[in-house]
Amino acid sequence: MKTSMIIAFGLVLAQSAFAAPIVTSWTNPECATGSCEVKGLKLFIDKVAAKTFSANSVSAEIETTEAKHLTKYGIVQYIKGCHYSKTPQGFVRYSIRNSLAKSVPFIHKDWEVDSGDDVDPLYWSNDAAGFDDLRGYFVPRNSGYAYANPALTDNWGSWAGKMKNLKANKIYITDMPTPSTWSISADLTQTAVISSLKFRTCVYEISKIPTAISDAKVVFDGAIGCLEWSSNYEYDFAKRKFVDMGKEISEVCR
Amino acid sequence: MKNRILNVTFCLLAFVGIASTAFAAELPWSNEWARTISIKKVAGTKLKLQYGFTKKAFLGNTFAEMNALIAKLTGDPKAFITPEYLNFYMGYEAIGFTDYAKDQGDFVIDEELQAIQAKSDAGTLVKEDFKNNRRWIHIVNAIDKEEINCIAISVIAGVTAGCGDVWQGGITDDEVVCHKDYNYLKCHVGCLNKIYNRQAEVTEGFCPERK
Repeated sequence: MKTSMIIAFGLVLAQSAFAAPIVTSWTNPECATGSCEVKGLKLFIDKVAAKTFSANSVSAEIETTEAKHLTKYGIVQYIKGCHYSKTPQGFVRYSIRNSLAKSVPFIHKDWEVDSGDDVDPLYWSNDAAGFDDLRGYFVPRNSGYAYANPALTDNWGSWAGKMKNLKANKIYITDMPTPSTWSISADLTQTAVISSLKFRTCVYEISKIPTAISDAKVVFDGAIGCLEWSSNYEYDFAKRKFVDMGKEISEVCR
Repeated sequence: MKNRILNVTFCLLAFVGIASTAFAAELPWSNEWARTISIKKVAGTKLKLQYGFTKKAFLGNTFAEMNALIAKLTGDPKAFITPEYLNFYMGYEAIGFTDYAKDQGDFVIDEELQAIQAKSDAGTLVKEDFKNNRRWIHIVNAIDKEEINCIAISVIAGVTAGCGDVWQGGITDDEVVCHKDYNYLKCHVGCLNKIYNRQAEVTEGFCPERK
């Protein structure tokens, strides 16, 4: 299998911020030249914002040529950047997050596996995967992935590895990182908590991803395709508004 | 012997945090404290022991009354909540039977609970620690909507569906099956048999107690 990582930023739809998600897509070039199982990867990015917070959320879609292939593929997401608090006077401290079920400072200077509450690097993995004696079938490690796009519908649930749950040859994960927030106290002290994060969302063959890792500072070989996105909002205290910094990570995160 | 298995209704009402002004139906305990004991999934295979304490004066309602309140609060007449759904939502591995006492301080933490607590604190508590033990009913955690609608939902649009509230009134031997040394609710396993068109290998009643 080709191991080259292809990152594409094809802007398919441009809509107003809240009307519809922005879609980026990657298409597997192997499908054009021969047989392939993974057809492509898409990201549906929504902005979630109010006066006191801003963030981007994502739904990631894996599409395969046949439904039966969906049990084999999953997402590993990598994260870079940091989350920290600041005042108009400057940096205060890094936040704390869960990474591989441990509390760590929320700063990732280089790409790391984004896995919060468990040690499985596969995103949204089912730790009870395997042959289920009560159910009598093999529950895949990606059984918790959604059968419908959470960015486009509220009517979604886990596909559970059951073909009859599928709407198409597609499954989904979603993510909404900790947002940037702003607050002001009674004595007019302003505080912002900044989320300056980039993500690289990659499709892998699940069997090639270990079920547990102890160090998140790893990038697995064998990504079939990847797309990047960000949730990176600075706060302008003077103008009292959030500023989308795109993929330019804050200096304090580097 | 009828185990006074956890009445999840009232423990889970505590989790939901709903205060109701509706009047209570007759309950198995009144003016007493109830201690619920649950084993929650934490991460990977690790488990954690949790206690919940409730008292009728604070939460004296049946699920039917709470569902009516939820429907009113949400504006959705079909909104509902059930013990099984909350078991599913809270990610419980197992539920132990409920204890009752006059005062909250009267509950005993017996040797078994002490041992479980020690493992829970050390982060070494796993499912195998609950094998062949009548005290614990393991939860079938529904993995998709099809299973939720049988295992975790008891009322859909006002009509009784699925297993219903199996916990009310306690759990009897004929409501339990043993699968690979773990106790499960017969109705939950029945749901899986129906959905997957097969018969899971079980024996009737509780699993033999470990020696």
